[in-house]
Amino acid sequence: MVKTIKHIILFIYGLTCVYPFVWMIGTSLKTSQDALANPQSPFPKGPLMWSTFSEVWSKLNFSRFFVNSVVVSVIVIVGVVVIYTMMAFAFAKFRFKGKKLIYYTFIALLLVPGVTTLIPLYINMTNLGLQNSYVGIILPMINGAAPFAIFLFTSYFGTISHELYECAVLDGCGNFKIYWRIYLPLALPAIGTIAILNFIGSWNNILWPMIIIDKQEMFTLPMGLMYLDSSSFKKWNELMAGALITVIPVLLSFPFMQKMYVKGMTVGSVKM
Amino acid sequence: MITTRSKWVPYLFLLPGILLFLAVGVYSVGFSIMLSFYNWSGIDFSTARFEGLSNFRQFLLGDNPIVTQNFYHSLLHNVLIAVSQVVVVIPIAIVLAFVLQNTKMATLYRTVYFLPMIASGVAIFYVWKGLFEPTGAFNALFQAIGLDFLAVPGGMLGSSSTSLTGIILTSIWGGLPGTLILYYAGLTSIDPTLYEAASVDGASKLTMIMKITWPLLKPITLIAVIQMVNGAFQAFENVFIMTGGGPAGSSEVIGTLVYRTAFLNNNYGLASAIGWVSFLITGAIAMFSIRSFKVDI
Amino acid sequence: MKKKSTLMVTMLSVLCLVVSACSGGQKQEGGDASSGKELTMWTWKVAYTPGIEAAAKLYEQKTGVKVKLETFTPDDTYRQKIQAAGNSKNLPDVINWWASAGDSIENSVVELSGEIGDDVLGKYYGTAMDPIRVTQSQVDSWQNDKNATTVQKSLKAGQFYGLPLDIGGFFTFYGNKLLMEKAGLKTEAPKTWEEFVSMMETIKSKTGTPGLVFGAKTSDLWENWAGSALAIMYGGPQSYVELLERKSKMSDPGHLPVVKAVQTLADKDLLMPGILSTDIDGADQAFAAGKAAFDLGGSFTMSTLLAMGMKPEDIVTFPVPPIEGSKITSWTTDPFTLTMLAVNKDSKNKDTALDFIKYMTTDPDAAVAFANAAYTVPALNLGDKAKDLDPNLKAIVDSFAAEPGPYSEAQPAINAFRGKNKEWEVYAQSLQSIIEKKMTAEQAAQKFDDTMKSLQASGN
Repeated sequence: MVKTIKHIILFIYGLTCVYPFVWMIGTSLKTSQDALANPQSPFPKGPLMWSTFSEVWSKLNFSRFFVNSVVVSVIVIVGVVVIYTMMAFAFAKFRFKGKKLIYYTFIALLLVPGVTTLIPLYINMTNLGLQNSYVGIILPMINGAAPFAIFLFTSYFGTISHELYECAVLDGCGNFKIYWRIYLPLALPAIGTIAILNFIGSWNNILWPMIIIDKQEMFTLPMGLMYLDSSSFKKWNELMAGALITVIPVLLSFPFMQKMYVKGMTVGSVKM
Repeated sequence: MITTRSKWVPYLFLLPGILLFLAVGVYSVGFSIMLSFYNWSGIDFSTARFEGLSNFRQFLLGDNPIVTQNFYHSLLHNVLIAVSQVVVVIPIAIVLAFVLQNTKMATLYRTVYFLPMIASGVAIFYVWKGLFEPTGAFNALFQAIGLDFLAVPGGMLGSSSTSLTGIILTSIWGGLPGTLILYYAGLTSIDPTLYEAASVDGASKLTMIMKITWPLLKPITLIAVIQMVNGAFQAFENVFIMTGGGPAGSSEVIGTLVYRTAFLNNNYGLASAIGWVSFLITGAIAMFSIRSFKVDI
Repeated sequence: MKKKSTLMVTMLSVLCLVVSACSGGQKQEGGDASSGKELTMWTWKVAYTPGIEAAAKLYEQKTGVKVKLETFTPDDTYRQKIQAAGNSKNLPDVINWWASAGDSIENSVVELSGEIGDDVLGKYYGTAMDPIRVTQSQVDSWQNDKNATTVQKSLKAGQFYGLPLDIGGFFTFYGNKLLMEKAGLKTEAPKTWEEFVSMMETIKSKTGTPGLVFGAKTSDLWENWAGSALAIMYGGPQSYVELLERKSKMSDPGHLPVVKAVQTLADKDLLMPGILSTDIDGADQAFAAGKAAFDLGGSFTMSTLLAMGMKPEDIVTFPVPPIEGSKITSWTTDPFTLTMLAVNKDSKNKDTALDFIKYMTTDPDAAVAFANAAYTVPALNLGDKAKDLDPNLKAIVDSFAAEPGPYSEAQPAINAFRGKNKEWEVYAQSLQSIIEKKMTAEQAAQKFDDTMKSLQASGN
């Protein structure tokens, strides 16, 4: 009895998680008229319009957008992981002047209201000559990921036994070697967690790319979706097809990384 | 903890992050703080006019009654979103995490429960909009199970008494997975032998929860609370797309107010001032939570 | 020592790796695309893109200058984009912008009153320059407003920063002919507001379809698209101007019936359910799907409806009908300028850019090519050339008033005060409350008056 109730609870909650995706898939397969007339129903009437996907794909330069999105996401992930594991290593393993100040300054960045810094950030980036470039999209995204990455990596490194470090020093390892060869591989679960979070974040980010990018060939996938939104008079079927194209790479990669995500969260946030 | 022989080694490890922050972070934060003391229309800083505290007086002290009213209303809505998210999400997440932990199909459920996290993009808010329509899934569901009084004829987002509830529902939906995973991860990390040892010693279930489980869940709860409060105070996209702050201002939040002030009314100084006051409030709430949880981060 | 240097080298190489991996993008110097052979231009109107490109092609054939167009959408993104680019001098040579004055871009674009003479201005539709040219009343209001921006305070009467590209009008109702026939109504335009209301009631009782939909999620849409026309007709343009100038009260008998018109719609349940979360596109969509008998829009709405699959013969259009007892008894849509073209002040191709915007807004062939592909009415007075317009566009042009009408009379005051005076923001929200039946017209008017008083008292 208890078991049945348990499964009912889990199942109902699961439904609410899945329903929007069912609706997205259903709507993307509708005909334009059906999507317009019955927007609420997740089930298409009449023939399934698989052709919408190829139409949407070719209507805009989606292949190029796709490449742009991949480039941006990959570099953001690599940058976040390398830069902030280094910082976290210092916070977790060394005693030095100004540690608390620097640490809390970076953590407090989490609370900075994004809308207010948008224009100043743009001025800053164009002063560096970085508009319309991958670097211009990427650097602020890496910087924005700092608070949580530093927090998680620092507490993760904190859980790794200190004797390990001392052994390594005795073996004649330099600090960088210890970081790179020993601590980084040990932190893989936390790296997985941060990688996933930033993959999702950078993949879906739209506000910043919209501001810093002027040329269609530099658009990312969500920007393409936004463009589709206003160029096709809210044709829900096309929009949802575009949305699915955008979300599928994340969906596909997710089950693989999911386990690692949980593991990273476990150690990183529990044992502080 | 190590004090290295060479004092600058730790700083070398910090260097890339700090350089990046100096390159992209410092300027925008500093500039934006400075702006809150200026009257500026958003283009060409040579046209900015120093106004001292006038922006702050406008929305905090009632120098402009309408702006002040908008600010406090928005602030109240942010607080409501934050509080209801914390109050609803944390118990549900804990219960679901417990249930999930003792289920064979955990992997499948876990994958499913993760889905809302992936769907943080704009598209999902359009889906929600559809569900809240007068003929949408919510009203249909309420009518089907005989709870007609819960159905909102104008759609949940189209009525000033329920629009904020709609926003809160979507925030809960979006905030639950992250918190659930946190707790799930925490629970699975507890060494089962601890419980065994405790039950051998004759400890009651309640004692075990209080002595073993809760100390572990405490820091997690703190992270969850701070994340949700921060999320609630930075809410913008969901409100902007689903209600635009309406009807009749009933779902306006700081994010949409700042946005409107900066980009539609071209009052960048006032917008910055509002934004930074909201930053201080969020910071204060975070500090308060840390204190009251007595957890050292 | 050796350890340290290894560390340094490794770290530097990591940094370099990160940096070099990033440098995939190309750098671009904004605004000065090249030698003058190419102009850059930005717009936010996706629908205009083919039109602008068509006109640009003609220009290229004539002069050899290529115009490279980039579109940023939606509106809000475009505003941010222009603000951001304006700050770091990355604006394109030519900017498409809302026809306006004092809307913050003046500092980035060329002031044209010294460059453009009456020979050019005379070619436009009579009132096309009105919203663009700075008026004395705007100047006065900015001077007296402590919250006005430095840019606004620096503007002088007679200046203008753009040339009008296209014109249009709000204040148009679109009716579903099939539904009207089904309810046994004549498919004719109603003569008064009351007649319009009773038509909607008939349709509601005979077909069950709600009467009206419009993008009420945008709180000030009703006032912008219908309310001001009702008000101007009811008391005449001067009476509306007095209200804007805070010289009369909303609760005066001369204004209250206009607020009551909205309450009537709410009381009789004539509005589409969910209207308050419906945006402009959503409203057109609902109308096209037959979910409401009438849709409030403007001259630009037709193209959207056709794109959504409606047929011109299924649609009836008519201007906002006057409330009984109105001083003006019929509304002729008095078009105003929708968007303008401006030239970047820091452009290296300023002369070419200026020549292009002159060409695009005054050459009849370019105007027709633009209009037919963008589906909007050019601001240029086409004369005989109008016969080359798409028939649907031609019909819209013919429906426009030939002479400046009452709206033009009130427009300077509308531009100067309705955005600035916050009682209008409060009023717009009150209208949403009326639609929800949470407020009466009297209460909304009272709130407007009280707000006005408290704002005046606090010097806003």
